[in-house]
Amino acid sequence: MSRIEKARAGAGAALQTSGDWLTGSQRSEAWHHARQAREHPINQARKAAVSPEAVAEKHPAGETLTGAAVDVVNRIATDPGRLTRSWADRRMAELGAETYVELVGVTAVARVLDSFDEITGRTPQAITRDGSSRDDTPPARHRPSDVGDVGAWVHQTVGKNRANVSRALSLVPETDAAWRALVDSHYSRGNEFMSLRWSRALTRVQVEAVAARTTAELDCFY
Amino acid sequence: MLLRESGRELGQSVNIEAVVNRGVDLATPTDLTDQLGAEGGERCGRDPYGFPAATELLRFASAANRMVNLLAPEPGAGSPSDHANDDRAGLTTARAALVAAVGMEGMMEAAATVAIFNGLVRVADGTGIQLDSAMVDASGSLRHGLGLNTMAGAANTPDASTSKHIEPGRSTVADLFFD
Repeated sequence: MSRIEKARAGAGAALQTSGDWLTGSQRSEAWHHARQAREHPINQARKAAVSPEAVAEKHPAGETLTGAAVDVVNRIATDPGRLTRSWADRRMAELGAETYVELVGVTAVARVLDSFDEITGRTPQAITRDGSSRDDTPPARHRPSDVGDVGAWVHQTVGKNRANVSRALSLVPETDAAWRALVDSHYSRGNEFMSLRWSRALTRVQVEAVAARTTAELDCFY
Repeated sequence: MLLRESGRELGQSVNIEAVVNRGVDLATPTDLTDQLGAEGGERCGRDPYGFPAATELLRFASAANRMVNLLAPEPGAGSPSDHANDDRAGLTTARAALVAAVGMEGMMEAAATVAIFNGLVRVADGTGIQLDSAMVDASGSLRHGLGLNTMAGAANTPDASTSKHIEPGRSTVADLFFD
């Protein structure tokens, strides 16, 4: 199994297992919402509007997730370039910062897995939502002691030993570990990240150009 | 910045403006001149982007992103189902062209890059992280030139619009991310 396939299998399993503050059932449902988000009329209306806040209709609660949680998944999945701090603060007041960050991470992982399948023409991974297979064991509920305000919307590991994007999910260590394994396999590959010259099927210039075009398409400043 | 610096490492002068301008889809230097003006076309000479297989890679990246994202509709655009069919066909064509240019393994690596950056964008924007402080000044000139400071996410980096517009020398990866 290749490095990417191994990481994808691990990330897919982790998305359906109880995590930091969400159960496996809740994470599976979040993955389901992320997969369906492009087709949802509310998201399409928001995307066409001058501001996503201009659309009055709201996402209802799901089977295991609150309406606020479903909204976070849908906004992160479909309109990340127009998120604002005030929107995130409102959602964190409703959900708790840790659950908000976990939903961001789960949605990001879900989009990576599903995007790769779509782009390469493969069948998407199955999402387990049946009763007997659901994981409703209690989540870890562990808040790390080494997090604080480093200028982002959410608390992260203090001390500058990693790039900001590398510590963005550090408030939720279980989710962060799965996420970082995915990043390492798909892009950074350990210490290779520090070299400007890569010996892969593509040169680093070619990889960074694809990355730059992607972030531009999605209106990402970082 | 990693794009520019990795290009410098290989002695390639990458046309970053064309790479990040999603409205630009270049096949020839004439296209480049049409899209970016005479200065842009002249700067890049015979190669519109400045690195091998660029046209195939960037067409693939754009087609892949159109396929997997809900992007804002163009004015006067057709129905969503028309778009879906067009996007699927566009990606199939772009994928085949990329395999021809860089091989199957190269295409898979490009697909992995598009996929993981679809996640990285969501993590960065969803958590409101700042640009790393070492990157703020190092990329000031580039961001200013590309108009990136007008993006919504720039609000998360207080110094983004006031950083120095200097043209820095060569940087290592560590220079860009660590103080």
